[in-house]
Amino acid sequence: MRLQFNIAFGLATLLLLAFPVAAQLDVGDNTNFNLSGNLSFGYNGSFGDTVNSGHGIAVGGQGQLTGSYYNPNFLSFRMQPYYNRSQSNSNFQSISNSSGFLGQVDLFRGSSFPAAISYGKSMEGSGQFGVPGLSGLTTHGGGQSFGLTWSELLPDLPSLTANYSSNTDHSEIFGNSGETHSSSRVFSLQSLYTIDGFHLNGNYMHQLQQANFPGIFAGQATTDTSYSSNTLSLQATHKFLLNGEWGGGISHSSFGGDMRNGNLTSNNDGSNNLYNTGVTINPVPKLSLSFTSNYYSNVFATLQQQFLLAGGTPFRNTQDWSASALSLNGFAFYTLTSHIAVTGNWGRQTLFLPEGTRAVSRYGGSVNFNYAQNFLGSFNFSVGAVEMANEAGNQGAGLTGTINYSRKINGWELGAGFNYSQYVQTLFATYTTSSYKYDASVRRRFGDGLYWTGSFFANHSGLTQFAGMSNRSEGFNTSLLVRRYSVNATYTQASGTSILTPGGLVEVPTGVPSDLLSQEFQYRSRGFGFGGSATMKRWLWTTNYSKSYGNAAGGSTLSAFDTRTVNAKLQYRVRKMYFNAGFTRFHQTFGALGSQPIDYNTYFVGFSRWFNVF
Amino acid sequence: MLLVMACFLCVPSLQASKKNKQQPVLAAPPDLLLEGGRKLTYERSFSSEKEVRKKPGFFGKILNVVAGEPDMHGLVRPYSIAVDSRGRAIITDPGAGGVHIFDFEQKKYKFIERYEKGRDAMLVPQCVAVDAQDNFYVTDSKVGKIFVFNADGKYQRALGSLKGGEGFFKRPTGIAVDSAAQRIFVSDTLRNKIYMLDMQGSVLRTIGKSGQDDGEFDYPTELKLEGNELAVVDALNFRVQLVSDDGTFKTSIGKIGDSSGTTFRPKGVAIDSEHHYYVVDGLWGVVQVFDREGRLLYYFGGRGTAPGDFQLPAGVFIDRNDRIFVVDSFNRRIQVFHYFGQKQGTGSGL
Repeated sequence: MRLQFNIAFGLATLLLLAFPVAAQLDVGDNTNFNLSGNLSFGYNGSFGDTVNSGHGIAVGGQGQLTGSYYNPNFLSFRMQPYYNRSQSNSNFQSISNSSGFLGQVDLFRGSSFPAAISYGKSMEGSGQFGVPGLSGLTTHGGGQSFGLTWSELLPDLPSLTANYSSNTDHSEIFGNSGETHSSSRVFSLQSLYTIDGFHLNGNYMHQLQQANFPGIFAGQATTDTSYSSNTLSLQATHKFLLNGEWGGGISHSSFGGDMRNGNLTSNNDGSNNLYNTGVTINPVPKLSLSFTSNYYSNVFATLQQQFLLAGGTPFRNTQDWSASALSLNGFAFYTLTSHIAVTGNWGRQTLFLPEGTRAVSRYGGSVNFNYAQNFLGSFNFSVGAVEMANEAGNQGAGLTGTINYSRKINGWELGAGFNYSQYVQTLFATYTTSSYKYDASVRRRFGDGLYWTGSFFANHSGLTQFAGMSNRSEGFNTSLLVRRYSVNATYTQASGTSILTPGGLVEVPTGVPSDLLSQEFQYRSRGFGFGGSATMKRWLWTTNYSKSYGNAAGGSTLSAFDTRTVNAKLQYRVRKMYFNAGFTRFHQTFGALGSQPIDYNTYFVGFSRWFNVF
Repeated sequence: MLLVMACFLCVPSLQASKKNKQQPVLAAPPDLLLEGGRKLTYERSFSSEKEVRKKPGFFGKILNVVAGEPDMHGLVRPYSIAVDSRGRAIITDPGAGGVHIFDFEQKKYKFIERYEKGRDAMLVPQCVAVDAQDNFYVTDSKVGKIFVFNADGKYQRALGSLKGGEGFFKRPTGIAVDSAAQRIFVSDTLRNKIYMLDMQGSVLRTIGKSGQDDGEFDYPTELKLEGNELAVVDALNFRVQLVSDDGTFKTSIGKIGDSSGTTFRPKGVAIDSEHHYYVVDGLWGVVQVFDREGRLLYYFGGRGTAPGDFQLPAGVFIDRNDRIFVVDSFNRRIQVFHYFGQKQGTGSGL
């Protein structure tokens, strides 16, 4: 408490002493600063079944110091410290009191050698542990980040841009013990050059990711993962005959990934070369033709790398898996009328496995219709078919379709969309995905200042060959706005298969079959919420309630989660002062059935003052 | 405590070394000396509520330090201006969605807005006119109505409001009030007509039709009434037409062109005590002064931001003391000039 007072007194003194200073402060001949900030002061308290009760005076604030030396293009900087930023500072409705710092310095901006350095550190910030379809479970933690960028942009010479970034984070889910730690480092180089009409793009990237997950799910042991990769690529494009363009490139990547989960260990490493080339021509304005080809020296490594990059743990030990692949694709687009266009496509994907070759051919086409009229609204649809075949014969037909519609009818604004695709090929010739999604929205104005909106959506996607390996979500939301008053409600539900990443559960990336996963989590979640707000001259009132619940299974044991938040805030503004009062009730459970929930209630009364010091 | 000490030591030193980097003061334009001893002088400009309000006293300063300075309205995209018998400047501001009233004598300011009203909301206030009782009339080019406020700025009624709530006019812009005859003139720009209304809003007569001939209009905008003669800014015919209140064509001023004496983007029009016509040209940023025969007498202004310059000027108003108020729209200010005619002395300030 004594430290808080000293810091608050220091900040207040700094601001008050600076009052007489004009709008921008010049120091010496070449340096100028702008300082603005927000200070808050008030009384708050907390109580709950599982936390220690307490109350007292709280101070907090944030500032922003920007400035430049000599010229903003020579050196400019921005520093943003914040302290005790919590619900007592009404702009930030976090459960925890976070403090930290963000800073960035730009050097030689606009010159041939621009550079930038950034640093950020946060303590006791609140965040989200993601669950597909929901806003997530509330976490608290901290971290720091560092970034460095430098470029060489000399005219008529190849450009060079170098980036380095480093992040470390730790977080803990309220209601669950154990911290998740993660870190990443990325170094990249990019060079661009144009010579004799060839646009060249060279890239190098080194990545390192490490994470440590506690056993947050019932029956789950602590998991350690690490991943590193190096990727080198060169791409070139050039104008081609018949208003066309040619492009081609080569890339080499190598990677290594390790995972330890209790007695289970997994290790993946490998490398892949990708050679690609393609050409597009437009022989007449209404016709466009394109052809692309890709060759993967190790298609399995490509899939692994994509998966690890998404935050997934390494696949099961499948070191002996190797396959190269060649894909050839052709596409034609012809405009029949201003409203109608037709397309045709062909593809052949060949997988070279140790035991033999598998090939799949694909033929398809579609008709696109597009109609838009000022008074009648707009309507477009596309419908297509795809036929697949391999050495054994016909493998079935798939459909693709898209419909979008919008129209105004007597004050009603209607919109709807539908998208369906079946048998979309993945990197592996033998696996295809199917998906559909649709949405609808309606908006109505009732007289002056009264609006109602509603919308609904649904998504479903999955690998065709794996029953049950799919993800789906549905939801709706609605709101009513009466001038300065509004109410809203929302509902979502989702289920499917996910993987555990430092940011939470994420849907399994498209095209990854489940028998490769070393860890997977079946999840089912639901969430709903409602709220309201009112603005009356200087008064602002908001109230929200949200609840999310569901379960996730990482094996035979089920973990349940349930989080509820009630939040109310009242604010009154006088000039640059804000008088605030608020209440938050937070409840969260996460873990095996019967886990102890956390109940946390906080309240505050106080004021904040915004300053534009100089 | 170290932090506090550092603050004490640091901030005064910063202030001490603060350079007194003053903005260069732009000089007012010199007086324009005209034939016959006439002259035009630049007086001042104003742009925000802060310039009207009294300076805070001791407790006001304390309050400013504790709670911060109060929010002050400023001109955002002003378009039209009228000055009432008390010397108050009434300015429509479509950008701010309201009407500013600057009362320099009483050191008072008022901002009128109605965009949240359930019935007869005012969304895009375009032009303004004042009657003999200082009631003022504001056209709204979006909702198609005319809003009437009394001298205190209190809303009185809306003219042209149909039963369903929508406006009668398609795009009402210019407005003039004949208090003696109890008539209101409104230009409906999209209909290419001038409507003559009674004070209750009933249509008594329409003036003009679409076209380029005398007495015909192509997007008429601002209006000014002098006696029973109406000056109409005929925007896309690049001229100002003078018509009688029964619609009879009298004469026209200006023509298309890019040299002095042409009116390429006529915006506002006003008439001084010597019956000279002041026509604002939005493109060139000048005010050209014509006699009744359409001869250019002189002009002032030019594109720029300095005192006396204009950027996208729009409305213009001349009070009974020949003070000329020009709405310098893009510069977000009103510039005030004073015309001294042959028979006139100096007038009182704003």
